[in-house]
Amino acid sequence: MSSLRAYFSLMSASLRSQMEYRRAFLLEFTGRFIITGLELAALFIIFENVGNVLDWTRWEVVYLYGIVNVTFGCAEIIGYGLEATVPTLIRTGDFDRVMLQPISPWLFSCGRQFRLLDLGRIAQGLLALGLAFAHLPIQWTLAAVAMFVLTLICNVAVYTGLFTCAAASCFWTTESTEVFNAFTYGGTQMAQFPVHVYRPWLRAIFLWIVPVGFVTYFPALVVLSKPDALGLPPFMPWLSPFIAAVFCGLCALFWRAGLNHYQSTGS
Amino acid sequence: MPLISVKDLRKDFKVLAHKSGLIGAMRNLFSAAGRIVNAVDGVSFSVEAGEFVGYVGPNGAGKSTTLKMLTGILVPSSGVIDVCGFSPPHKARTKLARRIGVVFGQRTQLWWDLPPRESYDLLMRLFGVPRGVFELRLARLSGLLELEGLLDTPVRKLSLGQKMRCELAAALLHEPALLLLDEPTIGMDVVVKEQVRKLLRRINEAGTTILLTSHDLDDIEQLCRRVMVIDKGRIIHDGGVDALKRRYGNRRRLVADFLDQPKLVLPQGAEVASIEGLRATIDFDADKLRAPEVIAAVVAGNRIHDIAIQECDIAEVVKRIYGEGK
Ligand SMILES: Nc1ncnc2c1ncn2[C@@H]1O[C@H](COP(=O)(O)OP(=O)(O)OP(=O)(O)O)[C@@H](O)[C@H]1O
Ligand SMILES: [Mg+2]
Repeated sequence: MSSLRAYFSLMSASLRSQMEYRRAFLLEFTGRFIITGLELAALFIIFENVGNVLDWTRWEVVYLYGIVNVTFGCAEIIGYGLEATVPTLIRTGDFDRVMLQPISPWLFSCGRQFRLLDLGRIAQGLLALGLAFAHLPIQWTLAAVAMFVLTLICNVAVYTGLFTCAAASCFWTTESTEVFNAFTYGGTQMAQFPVHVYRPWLRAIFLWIVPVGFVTYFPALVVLSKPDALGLPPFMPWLSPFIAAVFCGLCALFWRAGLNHYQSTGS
Repeated sequence: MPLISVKDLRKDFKVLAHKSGLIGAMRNLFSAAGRIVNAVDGVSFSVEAGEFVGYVGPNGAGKSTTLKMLTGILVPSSGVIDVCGFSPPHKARTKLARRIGVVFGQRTQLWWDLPPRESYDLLMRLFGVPRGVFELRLARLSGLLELEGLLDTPVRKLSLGQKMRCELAAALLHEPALLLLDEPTIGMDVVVKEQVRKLLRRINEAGTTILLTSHDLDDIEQLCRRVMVIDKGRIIHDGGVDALKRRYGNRRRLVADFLDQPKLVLPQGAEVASIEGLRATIDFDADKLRAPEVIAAVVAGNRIHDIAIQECDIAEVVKRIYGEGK
């Protein structure tokens, strides 16, 4: 509890040091809103041309798009500090200071940087979700509500885990972040479409290794009452929290190993 | 129960020939090749509560590496460490952080874009210090370190010495039992250095244990009762400052000003350290020669204006130890 309070203090400090650049912030927020808006527009253009994507209608795909952007935006707000500060801190040896804090290095790093502009992505995602809900005849059964909440939580967890892995890899080499970015940003692009449209090997990666596809696709089947085109057992959606937990557990172990491998710098 | 106890501590760094690019990075990860640096090479010591210990050595001797292992930043290659009851420190970093204060002269723990006051406020929250207590401590520290004018200026606008004083305050706000200082007086002018020394002395007298590294040997001589000398990762002296001087020779220094160019014939055990104009500096071994003998030799046949004898300071001693090592 107290470390959560500490985390919010850190966030507010980061905000205050950004306040000098308030105008830039407004610009960035609007910029991000427009860029993600263009992505959404591109989706509509695709559907103008092809009608449906393998049995998924335009609004069902807009739902996926909304989920991905809301959750990825939240994960960016939580974990942006990992992405933005950790590689540099490790390279310069200033990560020493992070190790000397009374709260966990992970929480401290997360709170160290905070971008309000990620709210732009979340706003766009919420807009997409709103549109999708307005156009889809969703039955809000207990299962559907539970799955909707679970998909949000699991997605945020998996994306945050990915940021954690990318940061942890920097303890060995700071040149590896690109690889993880491919998974993170690639994952957000992938998960905007139902996973069964992809080739089996690509699908396997995003279902079982970096499970962003898993925690978006299967819960969506329940919320949107769609059949599983992959023909997997019907309890798959309920596996989402376990898959997400295992993934996050592995990410945490990797981060811990990274901390213990930290070499600092000769100063 | 000592506050710090270290046994046979080692830290090896593997220094890789850097290969660039992603492929190079992957190769670095898995390659066994590389030079091993034994930064700390079997160090043992212990520090009791209340001590003020100096830790000196030439560049690259392993001082900072030792301190980083004590604080849990680095995981040792081997050996046993116990700091404030946490053994090993890297398994209890957040708990240990509450018991120790750390200043690295070259690093800052203050938020670069914020004034120190806000950083302190943040630290107060991180450490969970109640506001009333915090205000009291800050008032006391800012009095001792003369921070009044600095507290509301963004850190990036402070000078090196001003920043260091703010840094010290940051390390002391949670009232640690152990203070680890790595070159804390770097970049300070003489007046500020004197203030900081006074503060450190006072903190130590109030019961805080301090381990201090510095290249300014005046810091060590004025503050520490005990000094450890490390060279090439090994401790080559651990004991009183006086014992260090005795062990490495009881050197004295004679400075003489002449009225005209001197002709110097010195007895065995004395040698000219330097001659600048009409001033000669002569070092001699006080175990072999008595001061009057040296003075007699210097005075003989020369016209003297002034003459003075100085105690050899620790800087000289340590310089000679380093000389031996090489
Ligand atoms: N992160 C690191 N990676 C590789 N080698 C390192 C690292 N940190 C220190 N070293 C090496 O270990 C040795 C000891 O370094 P250390 O920083 O402990 O010295 P020091 O006694 O603090 O020196 P100084 O007085 O210059 O601060 C040096 O040879 C240094 O090059
Ligand atoms: Mg050093």
